[in-house]
Amino acid sequence: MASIATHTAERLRPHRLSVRLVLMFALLMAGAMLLFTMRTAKTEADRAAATMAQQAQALASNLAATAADQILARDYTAIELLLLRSAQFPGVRHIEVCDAKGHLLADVVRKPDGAPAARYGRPPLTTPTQPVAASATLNGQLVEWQPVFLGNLIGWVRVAFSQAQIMDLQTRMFRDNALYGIAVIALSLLLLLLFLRRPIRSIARYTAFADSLQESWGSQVEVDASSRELEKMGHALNRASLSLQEQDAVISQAIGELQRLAEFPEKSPYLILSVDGQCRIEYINPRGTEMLRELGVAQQDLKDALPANVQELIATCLETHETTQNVEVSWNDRIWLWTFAPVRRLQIVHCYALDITRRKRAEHAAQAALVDKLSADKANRAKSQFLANMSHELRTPLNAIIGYSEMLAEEANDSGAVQTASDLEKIRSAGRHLLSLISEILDLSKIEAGRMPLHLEDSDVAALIEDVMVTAAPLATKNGNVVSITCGEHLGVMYTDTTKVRQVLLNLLSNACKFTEGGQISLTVGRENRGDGEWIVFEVLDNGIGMSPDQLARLFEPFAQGDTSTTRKYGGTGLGLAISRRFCELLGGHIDVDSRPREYTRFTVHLPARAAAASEKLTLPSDETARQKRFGADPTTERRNRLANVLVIDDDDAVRDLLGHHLSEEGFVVHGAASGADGLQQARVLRPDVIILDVIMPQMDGWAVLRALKANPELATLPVVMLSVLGDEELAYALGAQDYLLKPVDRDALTRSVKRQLRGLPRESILVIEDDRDIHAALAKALQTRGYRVVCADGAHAAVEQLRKQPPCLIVLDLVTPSIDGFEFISMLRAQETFHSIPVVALTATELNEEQRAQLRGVVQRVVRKGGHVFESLLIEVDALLGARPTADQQSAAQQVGQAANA
Amino acid sequence: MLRVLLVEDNELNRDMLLRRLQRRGCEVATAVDGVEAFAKACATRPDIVLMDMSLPIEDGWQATRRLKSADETRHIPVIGLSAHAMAEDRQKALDAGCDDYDTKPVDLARLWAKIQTLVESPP
Repeated sequence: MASIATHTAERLRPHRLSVRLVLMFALLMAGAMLLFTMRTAKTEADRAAATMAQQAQALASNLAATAADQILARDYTAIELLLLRSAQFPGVRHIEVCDAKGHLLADVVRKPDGAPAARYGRPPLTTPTQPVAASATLNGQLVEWQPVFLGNLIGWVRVAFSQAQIMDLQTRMFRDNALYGIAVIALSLLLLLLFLRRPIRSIARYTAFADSLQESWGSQVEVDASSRELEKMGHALNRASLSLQEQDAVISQAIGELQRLAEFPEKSPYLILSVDGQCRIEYINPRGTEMLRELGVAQQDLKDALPANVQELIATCLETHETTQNVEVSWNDRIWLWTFAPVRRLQIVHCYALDITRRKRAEHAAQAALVDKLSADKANRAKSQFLANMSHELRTPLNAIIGYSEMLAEEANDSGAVQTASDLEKIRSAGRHLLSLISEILDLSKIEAGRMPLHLEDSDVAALIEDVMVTAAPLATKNGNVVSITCGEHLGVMYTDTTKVRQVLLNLLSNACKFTEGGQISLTVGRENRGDGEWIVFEVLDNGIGMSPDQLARLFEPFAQGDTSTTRKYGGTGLGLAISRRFCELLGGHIDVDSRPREYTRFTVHLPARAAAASEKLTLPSDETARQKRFGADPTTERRNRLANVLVIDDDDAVRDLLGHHLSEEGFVVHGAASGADGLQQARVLRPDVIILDVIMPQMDGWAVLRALKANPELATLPVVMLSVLGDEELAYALGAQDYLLKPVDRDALTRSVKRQLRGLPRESILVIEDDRDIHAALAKALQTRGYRVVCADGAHAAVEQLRKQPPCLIVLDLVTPSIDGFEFISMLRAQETFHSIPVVALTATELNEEQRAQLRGVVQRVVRKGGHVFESLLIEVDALLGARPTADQQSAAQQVGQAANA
Repeated sequence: MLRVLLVEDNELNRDMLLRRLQRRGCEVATAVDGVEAFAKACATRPDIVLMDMSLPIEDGWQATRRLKSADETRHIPVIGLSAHAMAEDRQKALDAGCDDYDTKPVDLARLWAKIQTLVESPP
């Protein structure tokens, strides 16, 4: 009840200041007016009453004086007459005269019509006890007693006046005053309202302005100068607005600063933690959260999960308030570099941890490889020394064998013992063969030990050829072959080791002669100007027995003649080509071979017209020198590559050799394994930096090997590149392979992949947005062949999904297709910060107009026209954008794919 | 008749080369070390010296140097012979004063050609 009453009162209470003021003022005025009116009325009434009392007294005393004799004489008539006359006096109600005892002598009353009349028979009056004049008010009448003396008290006069007149007067006055009062109050209120109107409006305006400050700062309100208070208030509001604006700017700046500062930990590759003494996390950056998730550690369990020494270091750090830097700690099979920085004020420690597992492993691997390499070099040198000594020891007795048999053969011939001479000739021939074997082994070991000296000199190419042909001519004619020589113009002079070039050419020519019967052998020599200088190219072509791809693959290996029967049939040491190849490399060139069984064999020797200075060569192992010359790579890269061990596991000898060849030319140390089991064994022993693993192998296939590798904790971290002809890329990644290459393997893609593994980089992925399935498939194939990982999306929606899942290194986008608006997609892409920097190659079927060009400018890196050599151009652009090096082979391969797709 | 001084410590090789040179009509004297070689050269004044490089007591290089520094033997051509087929061996021999150089095992036809050249047009 009470609350309802309060509530009601609350509701009724006016809330507006103006209303309150007006009401208050009105009430006060009304009260004042009321008091004033009442007081005035009372005063007037009192004055009237006093007048009346005087009149009554005067009348009574007058009557008393006049009527004294008549009372004494008891002349009632005269008294009555006197009274009737006196009764006409205004306001008189009745007049009585009585004797001293109160017996009425005359009694006159004024009737309601105003006419006086005598009354009779009324009982005696109660007279006052004292014989003095007295007045009293009774029943609205003023009664005046006047004693009548004539010597003694002889009677009383009693006059009664009606007071109605006074009441009337009072009422009238009250009414009039009230009316005037109301009029005055109303007027005053009106004036008050008029006066208050402006300040109230100003207050309302100020209120609205103050409200608006919530939204925007810095604006100014119009100041009401009519009153000092309002003026001050307006200025104060304006000042507040400005200061808010200033503060806002300061706060915005501070927030921006904070955000920028926060990016350091938020985007840092370090794990950044703030922990208190109990290892409770106060802050952890996203990388840290991610790492903890990877490690399977919940944030609240950090204390249990942290290694004991880290906890100790944190505690020590808090005690000593000293920063501890770069502490290597192994944690969950990984190696971390920790730094602890205490914050004394907050009693917390900032921890920074970097996962250096890969780096440490690489360092270990590099160290191990270096040790291996050094010990291998040492062993190799020891071997070479041994061979050099051995060959000397072998030569001396051989000298005797050859010499004596030669001498005896001469004698036998002289004496006509033909049979003996022929037998002695066989001994001599065998001796000669053994001798050449020994010197070639010595050569080879010297090359491998890096001790093969070069004697560089200027040599006339034509003269050199002539010289070689003089020696080779007898060999050629032996099998009934015809030798032709074609020399290009301007062969000029080459600066090289003439003896070695001669040895190489003689070796090739003698091979050609040996394996060709009654055929054609041609030696073609030319001088070519290539990008990297002038080259002399020698080509030896025969139409002899030729070689199978298998034989070709092993051709340059020592003792790799076709088969053992070849040696028996054709002679030779089986070292000639191995030496020839190494000589060419030593001179900064190389040998190519090309052959078809029973058709032809073509050896091509490429040598620079100017070989590098000899002193430089002597200081470096020969194979490395040759490589550096050919690829012009910087020595540090080469060193890193050279130290890297690559294990190639493939049952196909040809593939293994080919890959080995490519990779060793790139400066890697290559090991081969012909089966899965062997591969695993070698991986355990060698701990290679990269494993290249074929999928299809007998007994234990690539998947089984991959699983076994990943199941072994010691080998699980070795990067594996899968080779396959099948499209089972996803399986490879699912099983933990780092990369996936399609067979036939693109040489450049292979090299890039291996280098990527060494640097621990993921495979470059390309998002292809294209809704035409055929173009799609062809694009994917072409890009995959180049070693890129391809993710496809057939519409904008799928593309966005892919982008979210894993941002690609590059996007190939078909600009106009039924289901994708390429322009819209690009503007969407560029609007998002995350995808802002991904390069885009746009494909278009039509010529773009100027507007479209303008739209693409600056947001798309390349535009490729469809049709013609679209794939070729595309691959060149993609390679250029991703920094790969295109080669002639790949361009033609891409062209073929492109043509196939176009067809 | 060509008079040859053959310096060779290995008996087999010495004998073999001796007999083969004799078959070609040479008058051959032999020595088994550098000291003997110098003595014989001074004593017999041969038309040419075939000098093996690895010799006991005093090696072929020293012996050659002595031959080439003595007035009475300076004019005699010396062909260095060595089983070391390396080029620096050849250079080392020429530096020591040899007029020519050949590797062992000896290809007699080649060696004979060298001998002929040196004897016909001495240095």
